[in-house]
Amino acid sequence: MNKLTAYWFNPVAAARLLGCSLLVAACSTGAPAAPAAESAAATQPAAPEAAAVLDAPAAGGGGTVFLIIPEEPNTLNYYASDAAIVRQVADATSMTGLDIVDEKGEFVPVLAAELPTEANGGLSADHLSVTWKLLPGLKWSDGEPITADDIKFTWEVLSNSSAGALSGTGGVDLIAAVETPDELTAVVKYSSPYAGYLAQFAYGLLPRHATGKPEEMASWAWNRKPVGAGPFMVTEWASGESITLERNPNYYQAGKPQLDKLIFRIVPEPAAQLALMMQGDAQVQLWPGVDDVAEYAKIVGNKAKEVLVPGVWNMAIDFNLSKPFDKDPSATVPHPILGDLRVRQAIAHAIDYDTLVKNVLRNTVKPSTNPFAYGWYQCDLPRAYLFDVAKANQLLDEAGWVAGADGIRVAKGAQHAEDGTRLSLELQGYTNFEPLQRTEEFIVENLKAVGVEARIQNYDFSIIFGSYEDNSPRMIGDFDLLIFDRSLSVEPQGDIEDTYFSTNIPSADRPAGGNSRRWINAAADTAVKEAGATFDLSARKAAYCKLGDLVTKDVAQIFTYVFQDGYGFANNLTGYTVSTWGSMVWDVQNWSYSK
Amino acid sequence: MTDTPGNLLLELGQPARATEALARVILRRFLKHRLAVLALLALAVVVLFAAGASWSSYAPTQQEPANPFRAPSGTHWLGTDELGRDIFTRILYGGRVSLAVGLFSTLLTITLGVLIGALSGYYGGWLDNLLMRITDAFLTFPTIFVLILLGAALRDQPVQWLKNSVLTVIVIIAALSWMWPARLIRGLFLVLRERDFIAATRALGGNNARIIFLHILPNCIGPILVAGTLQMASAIITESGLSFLGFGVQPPTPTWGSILSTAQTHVFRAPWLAIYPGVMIFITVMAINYIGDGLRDAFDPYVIHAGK
Repeated sequence: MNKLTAYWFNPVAAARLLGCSLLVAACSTGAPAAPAAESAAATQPAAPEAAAVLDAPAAGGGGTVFLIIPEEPNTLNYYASDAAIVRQVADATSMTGLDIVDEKGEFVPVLAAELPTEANGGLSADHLSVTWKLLPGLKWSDGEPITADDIKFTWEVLSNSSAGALSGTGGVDLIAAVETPDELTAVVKYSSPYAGYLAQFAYGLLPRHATGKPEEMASWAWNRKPVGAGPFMVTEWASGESITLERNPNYYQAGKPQLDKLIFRIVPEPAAQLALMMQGDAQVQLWPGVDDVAEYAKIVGNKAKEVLVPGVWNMAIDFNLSKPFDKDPSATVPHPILGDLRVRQAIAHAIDYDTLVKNVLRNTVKPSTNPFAYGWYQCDLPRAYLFDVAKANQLLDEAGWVAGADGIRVAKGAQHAEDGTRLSLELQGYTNFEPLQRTEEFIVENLKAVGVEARIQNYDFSIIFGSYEDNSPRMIGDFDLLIFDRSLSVEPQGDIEDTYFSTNIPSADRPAGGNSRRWINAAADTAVKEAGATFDLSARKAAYCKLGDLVTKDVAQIFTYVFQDGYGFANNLTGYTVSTWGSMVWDVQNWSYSK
Repeated sequence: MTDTPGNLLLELGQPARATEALARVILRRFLKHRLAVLALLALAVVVLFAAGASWSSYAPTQQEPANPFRAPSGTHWLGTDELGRDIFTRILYGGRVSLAVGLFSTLLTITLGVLIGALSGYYGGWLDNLLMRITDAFLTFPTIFVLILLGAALRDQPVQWLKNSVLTVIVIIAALSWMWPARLIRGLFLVLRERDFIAATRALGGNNARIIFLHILPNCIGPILVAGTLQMASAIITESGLSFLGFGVQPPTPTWGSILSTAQTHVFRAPWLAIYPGVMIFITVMAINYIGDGLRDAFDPYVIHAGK
């Protein structure tokens, strides 16, 4: 719904909301649809005995914590929505699944007794069968037992096209069947291997007994009052005001959660949010939109602190390597200016990355050099072309671009451009996102300093991320430079194939192709294939790093920085961990609070 | 509006050589309106500053990223913005675009609106029906969709410079706002065309054009000026909205509207950033408003009669 609320006051929030819908379109190849999308549960792998709820030490007594959210989720069913706000609440109640990605980016079991791997026999040698074993004695929040049949039901819903699942559907179409030989065992049979199998039941299970028919998912009463396996359960929902969650007495971890009640208050106004934090009337604030930690503490009178965690939104410039504005989306004719590698290298040398991160974004972001900036696939590659104005000028001179009358270079013996062509490029981005505009304006000045003119042309989000049929300039190849923030999920293969395969250049025959740079590189194709051919994470990571190296050395893209997610936490709240992959309440069962 | 003095003369039944005398009456009446004179001076100052923007020792896009959000000082008279750019310089340059868009789109809007409203109200009948249905049609267009369509059309058209030109912005704003003055003017014409002095003019052989432009229109000057001043303010703000949709003036070129909307995101760190462009828009709109007041008083035939 309200992308504007979040946008105006919160860049990161906006990026998330905006990006989500992009990903849904871009991710149809198999990766989970929403970014950073897993579920909520334990930070530590659960010990089997912890499931013996009846013998557990008493939980609760920790009081009530108020959490501020800027907008109201329209559902607490993670699968039924692609809005980023949903899991900020649902993570505390309905999104406790078989496993989870922890703050280190690693999968850990939650409701599952262990992660199925080849070593423990959970993953068959042909990778076509995955066996999940549930912890014994698990119960839903209504006291009914959690069984393997609920795993099967979750798959039945997600694979039913009439159910209309929008999130968490990665690889679901590859599952041929789910067998339940006993109450605690689910065997997932695949038609072809899916490397992202661990992420498939990480977003929460759906109880067969408490929901409804799969094809009626959109109208389940469960969506607003879910029976879940999470630490809390919804007891009251006052539309437009607040959502109240109380402790789940059947939660599987002994002695948790400590808190009695969570009250999510819907407060769109940032000033009002900060006032609540300042008065101590709220303990947690989602996406405060104040980009300086010290300033945040000052505003809220040192009652709370802002904690930043690297997010998943990676800001990068795409280069169009094919001639733009020629009614030809293919890569047959090289770009008159950017078709020359030396020009692209010069542009990479011209950008002052340190100042961009340190001053322009005021250290609120983390530098990134390649597509793989976080997660298990993180590649710490050195920057391919460092900020060096002299080098940039030298490369442009060599490439046949000489100084022009107005300070902008013109072609004189350039590789593809006719003599007299101005070195003028259209830099496209999307509107309504201030940090992006600030970044563009800075890069424009950087490029001007080496005689390259970049003309900013920002379009509405719907145009930049529109479809081929809608003539989105990105898809039909009508741009020179394109800057936006993009993200990868825990299982990135689908996205990576879509974005980098040379066969995925968007055209009338392949309207959903994601290689909008029109970058054709045989070595890159090989690397992407290698990454998809194995389940061995270290081999996959090596292949991704190879790709990252190729794409940045060939300057098909320049990566600049990764946004951080910010959360405000009251000083008297303890026990929380922030995670790139989790929501603000992903570990809420571990929180404690002292008045 | 240059015809107006002539019309007043006719109404006063004075010989044509008295034009000069009447102009003096109008000027005197205007000068008597203290606020209007003050407003005229203020507007003149704003226009002069905008025109002389290039005298500033900074370029409007020149950045010092290490010096953002500086307070006003000797080197930066109004301080610096989020990229360390000189705000004073950006306000001056921004005035060029904003004043041009505000003034010219208002002129175009009013001209179009008056023309259509006058024809519609004066002739009535099928012409009125036709023009008013067209007006209604324009009013029913959801602005945002029209703008998105326009954006797509402009994106695909071959003349690239049209896309981001101030001219395009002016035409788009006028095309989306002429309907209100048109309906206003039509209403006034419907009333005035039935008045005795119009019947008298017709009896004396005055043709339609004469009646419309020399006799009825001057009586509408008050409402027209009011509509114009309101339109001006909204045009300046609309301009910044247009750039969000991909046409209009793109960053880093400053306009008052865009400076204002960027300042919104820095409201906690530097609330004063929003004040400068806000004050400039305020001054300009107030000035136009008071000048309009003064002009209305000066031109109003009834006031002149009473004053005689």
